[in-house]
Amino acid sequence: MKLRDFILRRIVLAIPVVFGVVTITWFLAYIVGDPVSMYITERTPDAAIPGIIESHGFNEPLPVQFFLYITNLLQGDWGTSTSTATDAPVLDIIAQRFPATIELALLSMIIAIILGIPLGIISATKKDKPVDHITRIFALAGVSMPIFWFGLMLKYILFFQFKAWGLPYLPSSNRYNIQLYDHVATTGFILIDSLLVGDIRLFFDALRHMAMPAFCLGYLVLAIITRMMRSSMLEVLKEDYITLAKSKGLTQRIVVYRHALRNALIPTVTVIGLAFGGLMTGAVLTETIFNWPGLGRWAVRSILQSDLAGINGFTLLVALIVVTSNLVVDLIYGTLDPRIRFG
Amino acid sequence: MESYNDDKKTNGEDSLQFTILAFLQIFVGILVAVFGGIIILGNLTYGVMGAFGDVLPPETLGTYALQSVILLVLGLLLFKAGLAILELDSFAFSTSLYLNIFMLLISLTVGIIGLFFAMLSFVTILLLFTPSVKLYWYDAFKEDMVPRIKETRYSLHLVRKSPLVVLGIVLILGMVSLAFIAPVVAPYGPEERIWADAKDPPGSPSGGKNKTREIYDERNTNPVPRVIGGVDWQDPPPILIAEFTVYENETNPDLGPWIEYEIEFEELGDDNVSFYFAVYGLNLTTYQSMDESARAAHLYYETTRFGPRDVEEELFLYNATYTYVYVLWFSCDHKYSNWEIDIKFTILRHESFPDHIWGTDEIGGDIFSRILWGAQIDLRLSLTIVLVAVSVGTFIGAAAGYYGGKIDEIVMRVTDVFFAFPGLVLAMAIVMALGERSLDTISIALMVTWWPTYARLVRGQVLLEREKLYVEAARSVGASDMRILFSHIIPNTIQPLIVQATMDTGGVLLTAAGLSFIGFGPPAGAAEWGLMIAKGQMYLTSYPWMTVFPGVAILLTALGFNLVGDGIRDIMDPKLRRR
Repeated sequence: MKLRDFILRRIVLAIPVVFGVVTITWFLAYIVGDPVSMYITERTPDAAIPGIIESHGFNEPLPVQFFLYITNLLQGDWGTSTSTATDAPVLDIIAQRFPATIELALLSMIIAIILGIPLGIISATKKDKPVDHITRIFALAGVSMPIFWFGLMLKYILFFQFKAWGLPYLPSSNRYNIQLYDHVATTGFILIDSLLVGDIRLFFDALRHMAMPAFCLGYLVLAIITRMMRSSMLEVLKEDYITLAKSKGLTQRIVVYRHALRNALIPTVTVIGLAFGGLMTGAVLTETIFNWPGLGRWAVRSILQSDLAGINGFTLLVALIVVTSNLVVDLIYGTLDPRIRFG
Repeated sequence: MESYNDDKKTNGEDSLQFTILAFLQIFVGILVAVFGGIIILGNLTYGVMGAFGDVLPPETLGTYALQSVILLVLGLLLFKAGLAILELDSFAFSTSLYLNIFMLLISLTVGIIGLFFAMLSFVTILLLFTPSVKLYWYDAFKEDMVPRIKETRYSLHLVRKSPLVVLGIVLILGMVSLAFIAPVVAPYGPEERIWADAKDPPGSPSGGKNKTREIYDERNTNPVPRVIGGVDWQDPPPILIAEFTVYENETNPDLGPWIEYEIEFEELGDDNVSFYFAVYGLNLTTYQSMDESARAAHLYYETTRFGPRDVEEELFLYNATYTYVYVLWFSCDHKYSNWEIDIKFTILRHESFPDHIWGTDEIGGDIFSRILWGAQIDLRLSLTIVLVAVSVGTFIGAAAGYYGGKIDEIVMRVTDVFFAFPGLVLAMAIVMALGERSLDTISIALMVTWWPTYARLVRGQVLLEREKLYVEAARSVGASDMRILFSHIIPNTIQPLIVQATMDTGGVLLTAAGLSFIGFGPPAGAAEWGLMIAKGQMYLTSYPWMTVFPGVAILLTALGFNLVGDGIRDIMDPKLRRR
């Protein structure tokens, strides 16, 4: 199969998944829940309600409603979220809050990759030694850690206690120091924005604010990456070409880093892509704890205020992100490893 | 049972146990299927009636939505197994064994009636192992099992060599046994509160509650006036003399017994009231035999009060078993009032309550006890979810893998869709749509979220096994599809399933705790770990123990499951095994 055909095939395969995702959100909101509430707020006058029902087709038969729902989604009408200060269309809120979440997710992914891959390699090359045991416990603890609790503990020690002891502490909420800096969003990614404006102090302030939530979120992915790296490395190290490389008299260092690493990285790349779903889940909890003005906190607020449109929009968005990231991973995988294409 | 069967060995066909077994099996099958069917119908009516909104059927019909489907299928399978046993089909016995073990597990998740089902399947298993029934199947079964047992032995050997797996097993067993013995070990109840102890740090003693014993209690509203000696006396009796005894169990080395007396007047107006209260260290007969001056030597406590004032005082007694006499003299000179009097004497027994070794929460619940009780709730929740998800997933995945074709394609596309949602997010949406916030809703949401994992896993395994020679052999002798699936293929796919399920139990625990942390969980006050953290985080700066300990409990439990799952995966991995 040619690379182009492979890519096309993958994209075509993703379409029914997107369709299924839309169906599930529709089912949850329209069959199990009360769809009208997505378009009505407390400020909607009673007299307008029949009109809303009429115009959104809630009195039509279900298949028509489903068709209307998809049309609305495609036209950018995702309902009105009531859980923000002023009622706003769901898509507007998503556009406004998306950069904050993605920035956090990307930074934590970077932290996880930088720490996770070396840890996995060390753990695999020192299998069943104390270093391996410690690394594995560290990694498993990351998977077993309730992320909301880990966030609270980080906040308690690095913010409250360090402050109490008079040590330099990390800020525990918001994206940057609102009292000191004035930030006008251009791209929404504050690290990029500050560099564009040339405000280096804002850049470092934002980085400082991001450190704790990003580490909290990254630990989970770090753990997943470490485990995957370890097991794929172990597998690769048993291959014949590694034995050959060793028998040529190459040092352990060269064997591991030049011959084994490249092949062991391929499954890890997949895991990194798949971990995006985990990051989204984590974002919901982490953003709540660190008061991060992103999508996750909005979702939690929607839950607490029974904002069906908000939840529906968030679920749909997250699923779409996951589908996209899976697709991208598939494509990268196919490009990196030709065996996949022909297998 | 052993001795009874010796003479039956030769002609087992008409043995009593055999008949009982076959009919019990058929009966249980029908019963379980009917039960499952009723719940499904109940859920449907619940849904339909819920949609119309007015009258709701009883709550019990609306729960166990997913379990009911499993029970229905299981019931049908059990029924078939029972019929096959009647026909002396030797495979039916081992099938029945598997089915009953599974049934035992599943029925433990459906409440009280489940205990009854569990008991029935336990009896069936016992019957299967009575010698006269054993005759039919046990030898073949054992022969079948020999290689598997060998493998298991070797795995156990590897487990023993791996310290991390052992650590994980210790953690899991520890948590499970803590959950079981919680009623015995926990010093306080799951929702017991001592307001006086709110926000106490770890290790602080309890301010305690008092247990009381009433000695005298009289409440009189608008008593009938009596005239004694020209003064208006009213009920209760103007002079009250009685004895009381402090018992052994009311003494306490630290605090000793106290007596509390309480006199309340209401609607008194300007009337004058005076009373005299005294306690003597004597018993009643000695008191009455003495004169006033002799008594004075034994006077223990004495007070006189004038004026319309309520009195409530506590008075310390000897810290020993002793009998006292109390005297209450009471006068009132009013003539025309509408009033109420309330006299109460109580012995306060100060019990030494256990220390709060891990502190208390914001309203005085003991953290340590609540964590123990929480172990019960959280473990049961996550085990139930995983068990149900595994069974649903296995069933769907096995059908998809075995029949292939369109069914397979559809099932795989559906699982693809489910995989697009991260667990917590889909569960959030489901709970939101269901509307109600409780542990039941969480468990339904997570079951729906988790089954595709197992469906995928089992499908893959079934695809591998389907082409193997033994399946072909079974098919060629005319075994039915169900038979091939349930007694040949699924037992061979069980190992990776167990590994996955073990690892997921930790994940499910975390997700459930996360859901209840965001506010989807049980109502405030329930002893659930996620909820405890959610409540504790508001007091994080000043009272960190409210948050720390429940989190450690979640961490350790999830770590236990992950250690075991991870370790077993390494051990089972054919690529890493025996090199």
